[in-house]
Amino acid sequence: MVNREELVTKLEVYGTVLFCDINTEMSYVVVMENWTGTIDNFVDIVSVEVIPTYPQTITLTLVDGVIKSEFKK
Amino acid sequence: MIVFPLSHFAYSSQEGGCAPIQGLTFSSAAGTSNLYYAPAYGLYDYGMSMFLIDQSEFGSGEKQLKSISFETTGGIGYVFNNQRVRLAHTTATNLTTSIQILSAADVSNPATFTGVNNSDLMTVKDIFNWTIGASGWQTPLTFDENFCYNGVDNLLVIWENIDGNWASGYPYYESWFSNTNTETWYKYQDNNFPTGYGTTDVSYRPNMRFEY
Repeated sequence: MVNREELVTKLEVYGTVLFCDINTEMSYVVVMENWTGTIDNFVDIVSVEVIPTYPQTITLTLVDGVIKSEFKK
Repeated sequence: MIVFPLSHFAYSSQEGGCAPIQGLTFSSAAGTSNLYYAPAYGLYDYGMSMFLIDQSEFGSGEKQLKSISFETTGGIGYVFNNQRVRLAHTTATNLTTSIQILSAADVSNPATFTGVNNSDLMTVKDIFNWTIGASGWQTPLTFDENFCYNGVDNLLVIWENIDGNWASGYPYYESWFSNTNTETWYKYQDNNFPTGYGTTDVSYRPNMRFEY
């Protein structure tokens, strides 16, 4: 199970969390804006906080400081 | 005495010189895999997707297609605004990475594209809002104008998502898994309707039904 509070705390170091929660019971979605880190910074965080529960990365884009990502069980 | 041929009574309606509507439903090859991004991906503001349905699935003989339906999971009550559906005949058997959106779609104009041959390209359902119901087959989207499938070529299905906003809680699409032909193509992005080259998917195609 994703520890949302811990995940948000780590993400907010690099930007603003727009959405961070389950989309449906099958997937978890994280959307960030004003992301100041690299995509690797993001991957490092979700690898610890999200991937153990939702191991398949379905979508991961970083465009103009906006990260959109979706992970599936 | 006037004698009507039996066929005069056999069907409910006949339009546009096509085969009469028979009151039947065609189901494309179907599966239980979850597809996330097509026909419309709720995580992004805009998108366009294409699907290929082989003639061997449809079978020979004309069919006057009058609606399309998808099978979804989750997303109950989710609304995709400003959607558009287009159909065409094609001899293509695969959708390739050479498919390119040349000009963006908006609520007044469909996108232009190249990279897949087509004929009779028709907007069968122009700008509409799509509300997702309970998981399962969605209410058929009745076309504004029926499409006369010729029973010879393959069918190209084009879906444009011109919503302009994203929101969480979107549905997934039950889909067919096969690695034989590449029958799904898509491109999505935020802020503006996408142009340029997209991505192909050889493995998954959403389950579709057509009333005819």
